[in-house]
Amino acid sequence: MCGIVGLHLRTPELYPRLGELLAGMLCEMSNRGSDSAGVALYGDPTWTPPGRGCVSLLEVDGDDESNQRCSRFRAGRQGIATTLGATRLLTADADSETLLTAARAAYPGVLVAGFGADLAVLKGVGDPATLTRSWGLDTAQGWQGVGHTRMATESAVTPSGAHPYAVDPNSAWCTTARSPTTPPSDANYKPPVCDSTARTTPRSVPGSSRAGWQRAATWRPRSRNCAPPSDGFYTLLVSNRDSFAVVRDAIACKPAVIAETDDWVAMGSEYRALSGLPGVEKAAIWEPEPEVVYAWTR
Amino acid sequence: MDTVTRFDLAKVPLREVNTALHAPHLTGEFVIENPAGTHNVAVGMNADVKVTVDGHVGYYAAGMNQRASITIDGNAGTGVAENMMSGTVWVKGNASQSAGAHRPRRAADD
Repeated sequence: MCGIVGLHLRTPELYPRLGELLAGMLCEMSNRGSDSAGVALYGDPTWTPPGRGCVSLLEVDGDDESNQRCSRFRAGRQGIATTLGATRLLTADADSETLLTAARAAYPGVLVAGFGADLAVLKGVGDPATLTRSWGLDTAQGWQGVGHTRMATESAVTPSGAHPYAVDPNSAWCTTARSPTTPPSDANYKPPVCDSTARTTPRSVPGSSRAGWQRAATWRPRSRNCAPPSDGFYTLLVSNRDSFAVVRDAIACKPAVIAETDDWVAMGSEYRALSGLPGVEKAAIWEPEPEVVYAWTR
Repeated sequence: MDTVTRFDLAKVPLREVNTALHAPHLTGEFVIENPAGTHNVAVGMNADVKVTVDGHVGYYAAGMNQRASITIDGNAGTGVAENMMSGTVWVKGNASQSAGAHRPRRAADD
């Protein structure tokens, strides 16, 4: 079953509350599956200081030589390694790709949960309440976050099995899906929903826009090639540093609710995930239509 | 005039509310506040009463209804008014999927 949530803050006054609000949304979804969970958070000044390269790693299992290589790299670039449960978060005065290359050289076989400026991806095994508390998510800040709480149906319960997945620099990919839909394992795969050439006429949907955050587009893909390469059922939430998008398959049996106010845009598997957000009583609320891409950018 | 009984789901557990609505010889009018997307609100009613849910509900709201007039002043999640036998269920917002779904009665049931 699984549950997904996403929150995109338009008003900077809410940035200090991002972690608290996202944790509340994720925990509300925990009875849709709570064997493991993950979040991608954009803009926390402590975890991912502005202007630094950021890489989130899982299954870091290095020997002495690996640790020494990592230390040498970090020494020259003011590198900082933070361990948050199963995740090792690296930041350095280098671009994220350079940092990623160095991390892969130091720790062959390491799993990359995410990478890109301002992006931290945290994952772990356990229920969302325990995990988010252990990460200190309540005090995290930023402008955007997505989260996933998982009920494993086709693969092992491990931190790496939890969403979100990285498919590009800055990206995070969350789904509620059932077999045979699987997230792409190829790091070079680009989510088609980000392909602006695939759009047709923008459509009018409920909601509002405000300077800073704009609805980038809502469109019906011209062809089904725009959808993820899958013949399964899914609701997909994709984010990168500056935008996020929601799309459902043609049947749309995997649940999704979107809410939008002047202060934020939010998505959840169910409305109750959104019910604690400030000002939700005045939000435009709707269920996304099948095979329509809803996208916002800032 | 019938009295209006109010339940606040922010303060009272859902099971307690549904149990109260299942009381024998139930009469009057009921308002359920702050549903906040909760599942299974006002399920299994079997009385000639009026129930208003003031807000959005989750899955299976007003399921298995008999005789009651239930108004949901908001959106409903999957499966609102499933297996309804009589009465009315009015969703003022969006009714999502499987609204009013019903398993037809078969001879083998009798």
